[in-house]
Amino acid sequence: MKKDKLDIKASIIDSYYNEISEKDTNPTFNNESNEIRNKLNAMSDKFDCINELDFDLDVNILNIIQNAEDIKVKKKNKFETIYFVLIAFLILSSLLFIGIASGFKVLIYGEIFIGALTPFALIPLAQICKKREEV
Amino acid sequence: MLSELDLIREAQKGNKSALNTLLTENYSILKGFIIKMTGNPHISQDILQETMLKAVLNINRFTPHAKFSTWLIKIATNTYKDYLRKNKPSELIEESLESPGGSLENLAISKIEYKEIMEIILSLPYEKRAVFILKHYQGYKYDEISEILNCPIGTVRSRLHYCIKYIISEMERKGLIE
Repeated sequence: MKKDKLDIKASIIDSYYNEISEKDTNPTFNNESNEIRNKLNAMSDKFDCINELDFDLDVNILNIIQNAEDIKVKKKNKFETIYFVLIAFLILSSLLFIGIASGFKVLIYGEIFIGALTPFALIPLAQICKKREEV
Repeated sequence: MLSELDLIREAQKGNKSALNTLLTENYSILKGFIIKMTGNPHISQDILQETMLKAVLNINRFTPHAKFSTWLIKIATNTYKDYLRKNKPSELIEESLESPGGSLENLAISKIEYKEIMEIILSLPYEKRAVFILKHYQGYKYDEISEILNCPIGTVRSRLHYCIKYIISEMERKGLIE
């Protein structure tokens, strides 16, 4: 009996908030149902005053967007610095490793070879990047 | 005029004007929810600003299977949850109720009722208060609330039932309803 009453209360609340249709609520305990509905209506009437609640808040959306942009740029710069340091460390340590493993003569030849070829690789790459930026 | 979906796509491409329109259009819904949750202008302002900042920073993570306002409210609830973890619960500020028009006596009665009702709302635990406000004032469905609060629909339903029973019993105790 008590469980039924609790179920009715729950189903009336659900129907009051349009989660189930009124037909789906238990038709027994009619007096009790009406009492609960009346209380819900009275509560709703009183709680309407909160709808009028408004604070004059000083929020500038454009400023927030600008702040977010600044945060994004800072974050990007931080990651780029970390990547640069990591890659530089990797290159230097691999050069050192090659030098130790194959002799420093090989390392110097290698450097001359890379130094001669780098402009041929970098110039077209820079042009491709420039074209992409223009698009 | 661009639809919400178009605005979101534009904002995700980095269009600041689209982002501004999107936030401006959803500002009042978000503000209303936060004000009802906190009952305090200073906290409301902080939460509102932080929510919008997080939304702008994470706009690319938004997948439009729900409304943008729902996503904003989800961020706001999490931001407020973090705020409550770090700070004491907010204090009620009475200065904000607009005059309903009419005599001073009516205004005084309204203010007393407002204060008592706000006290009842603020005495609810945070997660239950969120369910009640989202359902009663914002009109969200159970499944939308479960998505916002990241909990099962059954939990949303039982939290709402608890809130209603608690609110009615408190209102009866305070003589606000018979």
